Amino acid sequence: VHDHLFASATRDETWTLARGGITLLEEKYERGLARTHVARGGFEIEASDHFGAKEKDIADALDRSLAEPMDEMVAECDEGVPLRIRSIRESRYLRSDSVEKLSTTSALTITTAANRSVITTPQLLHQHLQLLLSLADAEEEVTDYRAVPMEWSNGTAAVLLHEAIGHPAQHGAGGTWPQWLSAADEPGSNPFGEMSVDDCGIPAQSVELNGARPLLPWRRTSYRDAPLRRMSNLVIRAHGVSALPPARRLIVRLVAGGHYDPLTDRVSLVVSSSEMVDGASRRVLAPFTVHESRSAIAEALLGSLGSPMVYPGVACFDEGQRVFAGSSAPPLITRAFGDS
Amino acid sequence: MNGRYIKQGRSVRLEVTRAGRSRLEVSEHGEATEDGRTFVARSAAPASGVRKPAASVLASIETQLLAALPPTVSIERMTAVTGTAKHRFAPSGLPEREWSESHIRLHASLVHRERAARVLVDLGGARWTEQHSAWLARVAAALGQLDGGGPLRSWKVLRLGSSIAAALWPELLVALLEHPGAGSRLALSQRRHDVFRLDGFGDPIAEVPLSGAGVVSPAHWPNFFRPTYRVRPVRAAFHLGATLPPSNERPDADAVALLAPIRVHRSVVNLELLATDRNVSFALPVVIGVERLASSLFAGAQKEMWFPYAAGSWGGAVLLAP
Repeated sequence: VHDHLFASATRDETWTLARGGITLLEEKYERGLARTHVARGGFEIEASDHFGAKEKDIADALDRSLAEPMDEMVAECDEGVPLRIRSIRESRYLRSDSVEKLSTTSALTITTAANRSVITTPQLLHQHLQLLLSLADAEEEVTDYRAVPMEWSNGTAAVLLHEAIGHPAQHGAGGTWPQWLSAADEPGSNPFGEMSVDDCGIPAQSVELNGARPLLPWRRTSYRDAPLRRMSNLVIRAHGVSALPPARRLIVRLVAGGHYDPLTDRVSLVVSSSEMVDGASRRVLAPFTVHESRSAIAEALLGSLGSPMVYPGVACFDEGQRVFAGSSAPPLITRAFGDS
Repeated sequence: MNGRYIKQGRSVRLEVTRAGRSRLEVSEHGEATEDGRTFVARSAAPASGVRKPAASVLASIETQLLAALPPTVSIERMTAVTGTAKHRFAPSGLPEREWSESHIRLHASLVHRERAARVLVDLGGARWTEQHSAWLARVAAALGQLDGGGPLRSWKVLRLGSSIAAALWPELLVALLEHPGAGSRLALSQRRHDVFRLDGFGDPIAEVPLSGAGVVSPAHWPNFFRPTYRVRPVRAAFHLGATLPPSNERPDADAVALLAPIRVHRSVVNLELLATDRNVSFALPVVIGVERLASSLFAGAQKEMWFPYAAGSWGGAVLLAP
């Protein structure tokens, strides 16, 4: 990593869609630049939202990249149900001795009146909106999720493994995972926006996460933050191990947030929409939280049911910084955690 | 309140994370407007006219923190920040008001890896004081002495330290607003702060009863919290404090810090406490109903200390005698 100039702009808008039409509730735009000096053991950063005469071109380029209005895209989400839509578009500029690059990412968070939400991209908006609207309200509480096998559908396994493999990899923690399972960070195919160089100007490359300490890309939320090595796009693949879905199982449809604690090596994941299936019987379950050790998750993985699919994305928080990360995984089966 | 708000600020931040130790100087100048429907915030063009705060205090805080750590305790992460800001607010149709403030904060996560235990440190104020240093030294030492477990200690009376009390008030306020009949002995109120005297619109923060007799409902709380120009101000209770009945009971142990954030679920409060008894520390879980907790708290003798929880909270030692 070498000294560099980093600049970012963020346009953050919140809209409501209701019977009365579209309303813009909040509109925030901020931009600034960070002169980043690589010091022994860290960074020395001088950050300001003031662009001097020499940096006017950068400010103009950032403004142009985020100038397109969002109201038409928001209007496309009108399905006759109340929704809250938050659009966060970010543009980042990087200049070092070897690189000059401007890139833009876009994330849309759609929340229903029942407080279920997905984070998606303009390209995947309609697919994920239909998924969100297809989820039914809960009919019963979960008595013990550990007593039944689980099917992680819609790519939700990527979020489970984002917490169980991805975050530990950021902390340098490995783990023993099934040979048939691969987990890779692939910045080049990030659905939120291609990342060819990271936020320190280093070419971003795909890395396997369940091996030796991987070198993830440097990322930061804005010009006011210090870079950290973070995931950009977690891709889970299952090689040659197919599982049959048990007749009685808990199908995870959507998750709401997760956490990895490096001190206890345990993972928490909120399941916001799921169904208990037993033969022909299906009951929609209330939200619940999975709390498991990483070793229990690794031991419970049985196999996959098909090809990877892109999960609505993840707003990933680490050291107080939010970045959006892509996630994709095939449907995976875990045996009952209580059987481990 | 509709109008135009402008903030110019400068801060210096020292961060210790898994990426190393970084130092950030941030200068910002932003403005926000509200028109009754839409909140708009944006970076403003001119450079901030505020002077850079003296940052030597941050190195001093870091040195104090490192000196306070026993060999078994390490820093998982740390952010020490000092900042100064100049605020201006022009309410629609009213004269503009202008005010300034400075602050210091320390946010850190201290861990005893062998015991898989963590204490979150959130200290702040207009300046760093002896009270902050003493709190830090006491809690770090207690975490370092944490025993390896064993049978749960029995107790009848616990002394809860200032940070635990200050963290309890926001949780109890929410619980008491949901169940107004519970804990009528516990009088929570918005208090004053000698330095942080004005809210996000530049209005004075006055004393306001929040529970018990003469309560002011949340919809009529007079003050608004605006931690940055980037967020819409919301009504909030500032500088929470509690008035409690006295007690002559002697505590069986001292709880000096929380080992996990307080959880309140279905009117039950879960406290994971770091407690000490002579030179031994131990983890002490307390699970207690909101009503019973609110009616079992008594004043303990200790000067109150301000903590940067939400819009601020005052905590002194309190006795828990259920």
